[in-house]
Amino acid sequence: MKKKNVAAGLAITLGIGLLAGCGSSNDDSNASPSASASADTGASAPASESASAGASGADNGGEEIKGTITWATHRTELADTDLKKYVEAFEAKYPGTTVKIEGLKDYEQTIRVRMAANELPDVLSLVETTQSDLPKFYEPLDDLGLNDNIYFKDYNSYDGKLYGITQQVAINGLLYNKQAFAKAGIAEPPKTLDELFADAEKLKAAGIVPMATAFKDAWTLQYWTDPAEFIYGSTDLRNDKINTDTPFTVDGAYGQGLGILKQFYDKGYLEKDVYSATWDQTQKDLASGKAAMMYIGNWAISNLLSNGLSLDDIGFVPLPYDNSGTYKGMMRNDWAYAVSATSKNKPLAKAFIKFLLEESGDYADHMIISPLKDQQQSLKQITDFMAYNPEMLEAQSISEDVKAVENKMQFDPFKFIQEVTVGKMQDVFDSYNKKWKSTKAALGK
Amino acid sequence: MREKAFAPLTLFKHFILWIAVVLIVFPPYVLVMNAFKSKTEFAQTSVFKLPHSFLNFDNFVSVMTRAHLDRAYWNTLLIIVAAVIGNVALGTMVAYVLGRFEFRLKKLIMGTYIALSFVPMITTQVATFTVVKNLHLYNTLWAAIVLNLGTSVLQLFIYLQFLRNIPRELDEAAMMEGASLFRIYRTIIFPLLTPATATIIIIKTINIYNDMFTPYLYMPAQKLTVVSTSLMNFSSERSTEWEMMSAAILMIMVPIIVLYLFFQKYVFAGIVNGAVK
Amino acid sequence: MVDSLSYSLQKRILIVLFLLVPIVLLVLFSLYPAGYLVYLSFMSWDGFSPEKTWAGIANYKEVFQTKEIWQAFGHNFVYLIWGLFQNALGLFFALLLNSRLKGRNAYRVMLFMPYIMNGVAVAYMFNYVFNSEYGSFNTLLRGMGLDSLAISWFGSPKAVNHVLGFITLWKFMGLNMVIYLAALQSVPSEIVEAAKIDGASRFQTSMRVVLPNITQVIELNLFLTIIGTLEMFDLPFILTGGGPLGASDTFLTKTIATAFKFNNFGLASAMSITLIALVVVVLGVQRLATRRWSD
Repeated sequence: MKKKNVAAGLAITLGIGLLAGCGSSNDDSNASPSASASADTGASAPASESASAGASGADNGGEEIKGTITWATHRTELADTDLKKYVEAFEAKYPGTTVKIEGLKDYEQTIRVRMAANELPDVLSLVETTQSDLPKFYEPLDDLGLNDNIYFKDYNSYDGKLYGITQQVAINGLLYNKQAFAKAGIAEPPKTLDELFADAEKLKAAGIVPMATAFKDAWTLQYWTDPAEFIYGSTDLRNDKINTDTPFTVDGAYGQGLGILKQFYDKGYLEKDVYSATWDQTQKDLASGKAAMMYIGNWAISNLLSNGLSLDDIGFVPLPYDNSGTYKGMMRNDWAYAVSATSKNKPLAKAFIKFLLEESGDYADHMIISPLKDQQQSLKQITDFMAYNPEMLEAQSISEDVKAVENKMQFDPFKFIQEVTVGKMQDVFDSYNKKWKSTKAALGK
Repeated sequence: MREKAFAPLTLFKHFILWIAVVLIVFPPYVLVMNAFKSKTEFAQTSVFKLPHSFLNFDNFVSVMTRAHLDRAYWNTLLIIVAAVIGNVALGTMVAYVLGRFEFRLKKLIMGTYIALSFVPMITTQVATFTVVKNLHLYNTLWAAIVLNLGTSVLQLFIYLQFLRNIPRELDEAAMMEGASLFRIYRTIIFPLLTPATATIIIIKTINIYNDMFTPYLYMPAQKLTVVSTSLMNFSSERSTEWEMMSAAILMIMVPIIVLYLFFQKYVFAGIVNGAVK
Repeated sequence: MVDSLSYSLQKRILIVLFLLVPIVLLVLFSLYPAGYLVYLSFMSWDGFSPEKTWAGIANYKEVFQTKEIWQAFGHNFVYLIWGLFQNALGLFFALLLNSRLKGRNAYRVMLFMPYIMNGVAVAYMFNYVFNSEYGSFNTLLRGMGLDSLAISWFGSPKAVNHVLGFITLWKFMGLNMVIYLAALQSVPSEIVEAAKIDGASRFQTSMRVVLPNITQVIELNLFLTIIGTLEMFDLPFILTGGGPLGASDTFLTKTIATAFKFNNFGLASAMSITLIALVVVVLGVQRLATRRWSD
């Protein structure tokens, strides 16, 4: 829950991936994960075949890859199935190696306790520390030779060194059920904010929940700060707060951006009782057409599929946050692979991460976007999304100063969005500004 | 004491108990409904709807294999047997000493037990973890066993309650015959604590069985997974396959219910045998 | 051999031998962690960096100055009220099921079942029971024509803690019952029989003979209820996450968030120590009350 800016974890797996990875390289300097144009819709490829052309992990400083490591992961649902498959493929490639998987629930809390006792697994999902503490816990990964090929290179970096590589890239977009749209007489996805509201009205009239939020679960709301960053024009929004005593203003980026969600709420376009709306139920409702839209990461596509909606009926487009007809899209990182500084077998740990990224086929198996720029996700929904030519923004890590103030004032971004949505915006902003100002002053930032 | 089947009071008792039973069964209803649904059926029907067929045991079958329940049951069994035996042995010993003898540090020890029970365990995990690690118990089944060995206040007080009602004359009579104190503990006190012990075994077993926190923190290795953590094979960070989870939860309840039925015979053995004597 | 030792020597040996392992366990796994908690409460520490710095009583000051913490503590008292009710029900059903009654074993299992159930299941089930739109409880209320009562149970700041309190009762009543049932077995049947021969009704026997004999266990149950409710964590954590808007935060959910979400272990430790002190105060009040009642 700590991963404030980070795209949520993965959904239920689909087993064998529906889509093959495609190895063409991507030189897009905007770092946008432009989808491959190949109409490779149905062919399924086994994980090992989706290997990239990247160098194999064996040339890791010439050290021998042998021995045993442990790998802690937050993906408990896959620990005994797909992840095991990847481990077996790795062990087959490097005879004499063993990777022991640890699937952990309440991952972050568990790892934090182990961190305090200096008992980290060799390979893990990076748990955030202050940036200057990164070298104390994690091993630099620059020598994997992936630096030019990965997204979010700067997110888990300190002093020019890379300590974690995101496990997937998530694009946030408007996910919708095409059948529900058809039922309400909507032919095309909305292209402007006005159209979005008009469509919501039609959906409501047809007895369909226009915009699902899974409000009760709170984390599902985190994506709604994207419009604020679109309006601000960059993902510096959160970090730039440090320059002001009143970061939250009704006519500023936060007010306008979160205002979109708030209007949805005020007009009755969200779930009937937002406090009963959970993600467990929302997935079912989106798949069955009881709810029509949700603003969420692309990884949720597979959730709708596993809930019985066919791929052809799932739409995914940029959120029209204004009426300009131009679009922006948000890319967020996820948990990052890291090697612990205390690992006794770093060459093996690094080779394993390299294998997971380059050769496991994880992204294809689970319909997500690979962090490697040359591994393209050819899912039709992603291609459609990119056809809008959105300007892609990349999430940034929170600066030390902002993090310090936020932690001290116990700023919970999910709860903040909830309060703004259901409360009186001016009042909520005033109280947060007041706290922000006094905490900032107290810390002398 | 004889029950007249149609006595108004008896009927009234049944009536009240039935209300309680209905209130208790009401929430788990959704578990039972959904354990028998296929994935698509679960996705597409209301959770309150009856399944197409109550004979669809597919979920139960795949729970067994996907969750590696055989391994999980084995590990759980080892932990429970070792921890419960040790816990009962130590608990009766502490209770015997504190309940029967007067000595200098007695008040202090009692007080420490009580005072430490105020400390919310979850807030002391960093220190506890360091201890477990330094004892080299980390990532072994011993971690869970040792953490469950200690006597709780609940246990201590139940035992002391029983000890109070075991007449001291029994001890004294045995001493007249020259029995050692250890012998008195073993042949008189321990057997007479049986109803309390049975209750403690039930409660302790359930606590260990349902505990997810200890296994995840102290024994994360995959070969050490226990029943409670094996449930997480059906749950990701954000969502859960509830049709599988429902089946799994119902399945893992069965052994505990059997255990309860078995041990409650000993809880109530006293009544049948004519009380503590 | 042992038999020939004098009893006073035996007693000493036995005390040492019998207490050795339990006290080692107590020190290692309870006393030391508690001491460390006290230490941390005077430190400023983010939970990971190797350095901890002395903070004096700053953390305690902050605990007392933060009004959200005390608001959250107020919610704990809702649980406490439900907990007392739960205790009374537990005792009631224990007395009921201690008498001869057809099918009492089945009843005992049924009433104890919620305690057997995994916590994950409990959260899931009650999400569906108290869902305001199609949840079974509101459906029932509407079916009885009580539409105005069919509110948003998780959405109302006034109702949410009572809902959670009820769920706690649902889950833990069986535990109280089983403890009371065990305690009732310790009451020597002679004194019960004697009271009956004196012509006491069953109710009178319960009130005058049985209950006084188990006051210690009643106190134990109250004690556990007070600790359990003032230190409530799991249920609000998994069921509401403190929502809506913090209306169901408890002292301990705040504490854990402070430690692991906001990286402030010093403050969190000071909160824990404060909580322990509060528990002691409430227990003191409870003991005074029960003393007065039993006199």
